[in-house]
Amino acid sequence: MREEVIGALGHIGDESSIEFLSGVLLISDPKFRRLAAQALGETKSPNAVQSLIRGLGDGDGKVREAIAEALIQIGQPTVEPLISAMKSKGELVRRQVVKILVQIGLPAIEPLRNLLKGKNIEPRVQVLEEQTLRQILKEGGRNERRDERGVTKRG
Amino acid sequence: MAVETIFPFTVKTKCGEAEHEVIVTLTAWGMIEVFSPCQILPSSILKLAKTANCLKQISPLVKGLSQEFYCSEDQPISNLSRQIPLEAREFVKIWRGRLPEGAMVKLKEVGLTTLTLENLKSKFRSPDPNIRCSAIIMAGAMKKHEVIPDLVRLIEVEEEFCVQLAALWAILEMPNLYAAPTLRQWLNRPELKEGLKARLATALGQIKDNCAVEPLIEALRGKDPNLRRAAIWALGQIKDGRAVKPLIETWKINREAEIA
Repeated sequence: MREEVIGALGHIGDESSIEFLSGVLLISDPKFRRLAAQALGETKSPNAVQSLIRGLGDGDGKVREAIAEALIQIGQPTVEPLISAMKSKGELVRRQVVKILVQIGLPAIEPLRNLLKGKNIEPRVQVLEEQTLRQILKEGGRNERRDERGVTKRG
Repeated sequence: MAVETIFPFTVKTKCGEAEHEVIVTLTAWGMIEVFSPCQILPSSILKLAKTANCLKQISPLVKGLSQEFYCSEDQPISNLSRQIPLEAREFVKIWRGRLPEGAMVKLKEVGLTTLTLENLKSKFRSPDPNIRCSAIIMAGAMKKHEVIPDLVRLIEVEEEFCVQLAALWAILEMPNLYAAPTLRQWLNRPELKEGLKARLATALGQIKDNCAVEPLIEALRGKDPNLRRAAIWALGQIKDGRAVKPLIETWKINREAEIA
C-alpha cells in the first residue's frame, strides 16, 4: 500500500508531495528510497532537485541509480545545482554528477562553459568540468553521426 | 461437457410468523430471479397474510450474491449467507468475467443474433429483466459508447437491482465523464461490496473526475485493500492537492501496521 501512495504523490507532484517524498529519501528502507526517487523524477519539478542531489551519495546502488534517472528526467533545472555538487568531497558523488550531466547533454554545455571562464575555480573541479564538457560534446557528436546515418538509411 | 447457464437452488426464509422455501435462480448473464410461493397466492389471501415478507427478507442475500458476478475474477467470494450452497458459489465463479458469453446465449434464445446498437437499445426496454440485463451486458462488452446516457438514465429508473448492476458494469467497461456522477453516487452506497467499489474507484481515476476526490478520500478508509489501492491510484491520476494529506496519512497508518 505504501508503494502505491508514493506513486500517487509523484503524480500529484505539488509542494507538499515533494516535501514528503524528500523525507522518504532519508528513511532506512532502500526500497522506499528508490521509489521516492522515481516519484520525485515523475514530478519533473525543480523543487525536487536539491533533495535528490543530497541523495547522490546514498549507500545503495539501486537508489543512486534511481536518483540519477530522476535528475535526468527533470533535466535542465538540475544543471546548475549539479555543477555546484561537483565541488563535493565525495568521489562517488562527483562521478555520479558527471554521468548525469553527460546524459542531460546540450542544456549543460552553456553553464559549464560559463563556469570554466570563472577565475576562482578549484583545479580539481576545473578538470572535472572540462572532462564533462568534452564528454558531452563527444556524445553529442556521436548522436549527430548516428542521426546522419539514420537519415542516409532512410533515404 | 456443456456448462449450465442457469443454476436454481432453494433457500429457507422467514415469512411473517412462518418460514418457507424460495427458489433462487442464478443465470450466466448476471440476473438472479427469486420465486416464492407467496407470489402465486391469490391477492385475497395475501391481504389476510399481511405479514408475508419473504421477498424482502431474501433481498439482502440476492443483492450480495448479484454483486459477486461483477467483482474482479481474482477477488474471493465473501460475506455471503451460509445458506448459499457451494455449487452456487462455483456457478458465480465460472460466469464471473464471462457474462457477455452468457448474455449472448440469452439473446440468441430470444432470436436476437444481430447485435446492432438499435437492436440492443430496443431490448433495454424489454419487460423481461433477463433480456434487459443481457442486452446491457452486450452493449458494455461491445463498448457501444453511444448508450452511456441511456445506461445512466436506466440506472436511475430501473427497479431490478441486478439490471442496475449490469448497467453499472457496462459503464465500467467504457468509463466516461458523462457517467461520473452515477459512479460517484454508487461509490457512496453502503450496501455495495468494496470489491465492486474498487472498480468504481479505478474508473473514476481513469476519467480523472475532479469531483470524485472526496469520495475517493473516504474510500481510503475502506476495509478491502483492493479498494484502498484503487482509491490511491485514482487520486494519483486526478492530481488534486486535496488528496495529499490523506495519502500521507494512509502511508503513516500502513507503516505503523507493517511495523506492528
